[in-house]
Amino acid sequence: MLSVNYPQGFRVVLPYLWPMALLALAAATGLSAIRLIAAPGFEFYLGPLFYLLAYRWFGLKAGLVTAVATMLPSLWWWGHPMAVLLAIGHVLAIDRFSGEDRSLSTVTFFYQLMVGAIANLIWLNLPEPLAPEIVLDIAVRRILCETLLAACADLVLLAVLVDTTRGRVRRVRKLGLQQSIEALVSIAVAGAAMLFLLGELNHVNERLELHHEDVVSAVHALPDRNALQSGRTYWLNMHGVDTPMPFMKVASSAMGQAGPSLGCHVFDDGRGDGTGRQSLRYWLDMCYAVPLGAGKMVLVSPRGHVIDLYRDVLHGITPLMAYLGLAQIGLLMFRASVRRSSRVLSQALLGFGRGYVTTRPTAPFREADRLVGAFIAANNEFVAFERQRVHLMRTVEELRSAIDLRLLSDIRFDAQRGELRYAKIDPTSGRRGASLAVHSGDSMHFQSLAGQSEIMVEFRRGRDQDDQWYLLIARDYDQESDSWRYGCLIRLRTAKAFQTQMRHSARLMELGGMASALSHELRQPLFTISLAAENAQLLMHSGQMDPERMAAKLGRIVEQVERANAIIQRTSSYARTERDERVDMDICQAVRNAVRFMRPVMTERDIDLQIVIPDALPVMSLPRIGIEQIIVNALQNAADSIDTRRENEEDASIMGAVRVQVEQLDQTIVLNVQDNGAGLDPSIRSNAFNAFCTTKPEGKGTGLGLFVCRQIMDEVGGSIAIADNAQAPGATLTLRFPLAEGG
Amino acid sequence: MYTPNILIVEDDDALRGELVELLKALGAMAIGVPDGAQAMHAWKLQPFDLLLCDYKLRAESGLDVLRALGDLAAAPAAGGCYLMTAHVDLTAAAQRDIASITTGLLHKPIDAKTLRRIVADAAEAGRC
Repeated sequence: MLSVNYPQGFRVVLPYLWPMALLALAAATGLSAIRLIAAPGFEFYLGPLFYLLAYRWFGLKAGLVTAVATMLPSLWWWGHPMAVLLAIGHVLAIDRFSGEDRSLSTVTFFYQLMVGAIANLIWLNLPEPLAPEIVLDIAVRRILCETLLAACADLVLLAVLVDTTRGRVRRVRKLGLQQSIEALVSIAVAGAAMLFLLGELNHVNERLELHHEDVVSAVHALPDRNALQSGRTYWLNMHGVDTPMPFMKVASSAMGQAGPSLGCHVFDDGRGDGTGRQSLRYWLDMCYAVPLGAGKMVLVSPRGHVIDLYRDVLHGITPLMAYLGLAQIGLLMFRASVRRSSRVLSQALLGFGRGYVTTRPTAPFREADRLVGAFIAANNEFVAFERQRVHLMRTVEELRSAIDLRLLSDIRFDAQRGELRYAKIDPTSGRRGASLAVHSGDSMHFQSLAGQSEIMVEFRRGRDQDDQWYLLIARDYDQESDSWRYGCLIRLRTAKAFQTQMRHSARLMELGGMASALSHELRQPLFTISLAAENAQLLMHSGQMDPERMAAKLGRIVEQVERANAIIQRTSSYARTERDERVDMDICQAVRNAVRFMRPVMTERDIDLQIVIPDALPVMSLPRIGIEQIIVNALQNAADSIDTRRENEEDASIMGAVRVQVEQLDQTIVLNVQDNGAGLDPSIRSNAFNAFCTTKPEGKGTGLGLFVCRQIMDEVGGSIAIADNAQAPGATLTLRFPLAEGG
Repeated sequence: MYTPNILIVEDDDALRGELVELLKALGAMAIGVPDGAQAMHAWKLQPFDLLLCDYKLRAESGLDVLRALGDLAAAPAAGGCYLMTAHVDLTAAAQRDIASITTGLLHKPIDAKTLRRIVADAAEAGRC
């Protein structure tokens, strides 16, 4: 079954895993059984490639089985199990020293260098010693061959991934840096060394083949070749051959018996097909057979010359092997640096956000080190930010806890139950339905708010004696559900009763500022009463009882008492309480009352008070005392402002002027109180109506005057504004009373 | 017994009438005027032994009236010049001004005993 619709690569599904595995094993074994000859004396087998791949893809057991299976043919060829044992050891070494991130070629190189070479050394010298040059050449050949095959396995592993759990083969898209570099270096260096070796071996073979003809010519050129004794060893010196070659004259029929004495097991008379010449062993076991005629032969052993040639090869390949060894050692060091860089980078990444990093670890690679530095800087910045965030969250939580702030949604007032119903939004527990009983005295107020898009209302908690006040801010009124979509509820630390008391105190403080005028107003009639009483008394004591004069005295006393009483009445009405009910009234009358109350103050301060009011205005339903209080407050502020201007300009002779004007503009009655004082201080221009906003000296102004005024105007549905005069000193306070609302 | 001449400057008609009547009952010659202009006029007609002036007249200050009379008269009233006031919170500066040109400040309501004393003082000063 084959499916190619895998988006990131190709996908092979193996429904019969075991049969397929056995088939693959058989194929690998078959391919490994083929003796591949790259050059004379250089043969290799593909077994290592297969068992290394099997190990990496399917695990240790599969690797060992494949190693045994693919190297088993060598037992047949060579008659000993050395290759099988080395393959098993190879897989175990890979399993022990090679992690997933390490290439096979590096471990293979060191394994063959230390284990394979020694095993060869022992094995090749049994049963009889072999020339060291040959043994070393074979060891080098083995090291290069195995390393190159392992590097090829690395390349395959870098390209193909076998997912055994899903039976899927796919292309590898994320390459291992270390594995890639090790494989490529091994391929490059070992490949170069191997090509050199192949070239040298080919060259040796060519020289040996040419050497055969030279030997025949040399034998035929011997001057006394017929006088040679059969069975005796002679030495042949040839030009270009360093080591003299032993030779022996034998009968053609006795070559087999005489050959071993020269170390020969095979004989080459130049007439064969030459297939044996591709083997290194052939040249070591071979004797040239040169016919002399008459059934006689001369056997010449080139073994010494062959060893000389292979020594030359060894000399040539040794520097390359040393270079390969250095490269592998360099790769080990590189690997250590990569691991350290990876570890430092991992620590920086995994520890991100866990705390300040004060000691900066150093990564061996500059690129990684820069990255680590950047991560640490980002980490410290993030941690600082995170700490600020946590601090802010804690502060917000403390604030929430302190004011008992509740975030709400779906807020509605249940008039029948007298409850405020809402969904409480909690960051941790989510959304929960809740309700809060509203004091019966505040229920009506709640009902009047229905339909307003945004409300801000203070109310008391119902069924409670602690007079606990709450502030509800709700927005986005939904007509269908008769509820506000969201808002918040705050438990007020200062009850409204306290606020009321504060307002009252503020008014009393303003009254306190008029004590002088009030005193003057009361002491005048009191003095007159005193004088009239004294005069009446003198009149009585004089014995001249004139009833008319006496009645006049008593009448004056009564008149002055009434005058004082009127003054007290006006003062009492100014100090209004919260229960200021609306009455039908004329604003002009309120102006007159306020002006009558404030005129002594204005007179005392040399301020000309001018009133401009129309003859008639529509009657409005307003809190009379509250409106009078606003006007009184405006006049008081105007007087203070004029004093401030006099002080600022250091000119006490400035004549103060205050003008109170009332007029009707369409459906609005406008009341202006204009002065020629210092004008608005820039610092309070935008918040003049806020509570406790004042520019008066400490102890003189409470900062609540205009605040209370605005509250009163809000209650009556009007507006209040204050602005500097356009082209003259001073400011103008404007009150607007909409007739539709208040009339 | 010497009868002192007393000028009263007071803008409150009822108060001025009762004060004039009482001072007369106490044996003085008292004339009451409502403002500074009439006071100047009266002073020009005859000198007075005692001057009682309201501190805050309707359109002017009692101090200004006293200064004007002081400029007019060669010598101040022998019995003294008093300012009368119903205010209780005069500033220190105002009190210094008052002290510099008056004999004293009388706080309303002024009791009969005090009035008798200053009338007696004026009579004594006028006789000398």
